[in-house]
Amino acid sequence: MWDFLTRVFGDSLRLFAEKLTLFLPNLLSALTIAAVGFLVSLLIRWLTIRLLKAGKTDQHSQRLGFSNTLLGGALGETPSLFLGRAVYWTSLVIFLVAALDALGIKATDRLTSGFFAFLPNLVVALVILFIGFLLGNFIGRAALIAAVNANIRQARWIARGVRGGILAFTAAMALEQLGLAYNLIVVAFSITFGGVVLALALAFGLGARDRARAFLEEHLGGGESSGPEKKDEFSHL
Amino acid sequence: MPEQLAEDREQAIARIGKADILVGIPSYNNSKTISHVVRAVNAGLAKYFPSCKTVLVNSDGGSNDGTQDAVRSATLADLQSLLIQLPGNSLEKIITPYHGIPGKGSSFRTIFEIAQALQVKACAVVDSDLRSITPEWMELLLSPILSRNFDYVSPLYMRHKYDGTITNTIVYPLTRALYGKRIRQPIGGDFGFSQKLVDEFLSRDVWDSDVARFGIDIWMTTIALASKANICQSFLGAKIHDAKDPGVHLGTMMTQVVGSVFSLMETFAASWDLVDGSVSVPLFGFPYAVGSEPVHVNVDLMIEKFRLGLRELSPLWKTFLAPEIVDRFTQVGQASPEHFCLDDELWAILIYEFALAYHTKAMNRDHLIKSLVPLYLAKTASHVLATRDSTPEEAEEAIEDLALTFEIQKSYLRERWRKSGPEEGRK
Repeated sequence: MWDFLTRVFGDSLRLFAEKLTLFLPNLLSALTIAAVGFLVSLLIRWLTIRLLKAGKTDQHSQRLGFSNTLLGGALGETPSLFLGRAVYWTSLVIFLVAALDALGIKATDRLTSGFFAFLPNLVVALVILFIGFLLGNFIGRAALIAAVNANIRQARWIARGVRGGILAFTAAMALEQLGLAYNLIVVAFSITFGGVVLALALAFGLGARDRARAFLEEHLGGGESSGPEKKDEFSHL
Repeated sequence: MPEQLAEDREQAIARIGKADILVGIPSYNNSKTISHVVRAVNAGLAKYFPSCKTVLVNSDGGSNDGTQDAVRSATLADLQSLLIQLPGNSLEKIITPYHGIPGKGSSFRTIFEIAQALQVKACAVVDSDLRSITPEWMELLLSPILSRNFDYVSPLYMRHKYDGTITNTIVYPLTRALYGKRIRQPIGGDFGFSQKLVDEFLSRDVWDSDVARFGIDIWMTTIALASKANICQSFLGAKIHDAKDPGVHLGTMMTQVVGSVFSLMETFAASWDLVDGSVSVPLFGFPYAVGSEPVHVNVDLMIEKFRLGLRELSPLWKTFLAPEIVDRFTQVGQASPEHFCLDDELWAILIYEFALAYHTKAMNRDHLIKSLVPLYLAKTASHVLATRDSTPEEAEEAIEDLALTFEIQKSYLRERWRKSGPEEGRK
């Protein structure tokens, strides 16, 4: 009985020891990659922030309407710190996936190969989002100023609508790039966009009939605007 | 420009050879008014410069209402009834389209080029929508150049106390404080200038900027100021003209005019940095009062627009204005219409801050200047309220006080400008 138990447990332990012997180098490699990755990511973050600050990125971003103040504190930090953090996490995730791959486990193999095949699309999608973010802020700000100067009380909502529309459009493009639920995105976007345009057309035509008529009369040469406001009779220049 | 048109122009220049005086008229769909302007120019040149070889250039922006035909057919039916002495030379006309960005500046460029090619001694430009131009304007704009050795004649008009508010509240006080010369209508539109200045204008490559549009007037005046040209003013009486292109919005006007002033501040920083105070320039002509009809000004709407701007654009302004400045005009916005007042000192500081923000590129420049519109309307409303019961002379005194405040506050601008480089924002 003792012999039987010794053989069973001994074999199991031996087998475990053999597997452990085979796995330990992989584990050590994975841990090393993760540790190096952590340090390299920290270094990359530091370098990125230094380079962006040297390139006056925060000032340029502010000029483009990409400043934290205008985003209502959404970033919580300056654009250079935000980008530094983003680069750090991207780098760290790549190293962690590489570390998982180094473990040599079948399940993680499939995950890592999928991840690296997906990575170019992810990068392109992020770039699209970033450009959309910049464009949305820039055009949103232009819309805000134009609406205020046209004395439109809903200027803020117009600006938010413009920015949101651009962001939604670029988000749809990014998701399409990632190949996620392609048909669902196209249908959802078409319905939403079409609905918004229809709603705006109805709102403008019905709710702002007088303004629409005054606008068309002014711009298509249909005579004097019949709006209630009498125009100022002095020249600005 | 089509080759045929360019050839026609060159042929006309070759045929004329050299001339003494050139008068340029930029136009775009001004068939209703341009005949009167051409006739006034013709009569003025014939009356005051009978022995000079004179050329009229109509630089047109592609009018489709018969403007060019109106210029061609505009003649003085009977010169003998107008003049005692008939001119030795008849007026030559060159009617040509201009090339480049559509706008007054591109039109002027063509006029300068023809003036240079004809080696004229004196040149003048007048707007094509003028209804109040008289033959005397020619003498007043050209004689100081030909007889008194001046290089630049700036117009002085009698305008309604509320007319020309961008000039009154921004361009005049700022130009005076910067360059130290009291030129009351730096963007008047009707100027006289010498061949030397024509060469100076054409030596600069600015024709793809706002100078090609509404910015041309302040650009010419600033070039004259910065190049230390001999400058005078001529009193031309009333300026009555058609409304400027109604399709052009206030924001666009501001961008082109104020943007040009700010841009020129960068170009000529060394010129204005050392200037303190201001001096008047010689004045020609006989100043007289002109009756002015009451005009409608909707002050309440201006204040409403300012308050909307205050509500929506304050976060934007706070990115380059000090919080205490934003607080000050926030208080202005909270005042009742009867007590509404944006004082001169705050206005001068605001304009200087916007100029600094433009210089440091704290924000997209187009956005920056368009965001100035609600504040400008506040200042305009404040000025209208303050001078509502004033005589034109008293209203003029208020403008002079504002200009003086700009001069006093110039040290604020100078100090801040020296500290800031073009690449450094406030924050």
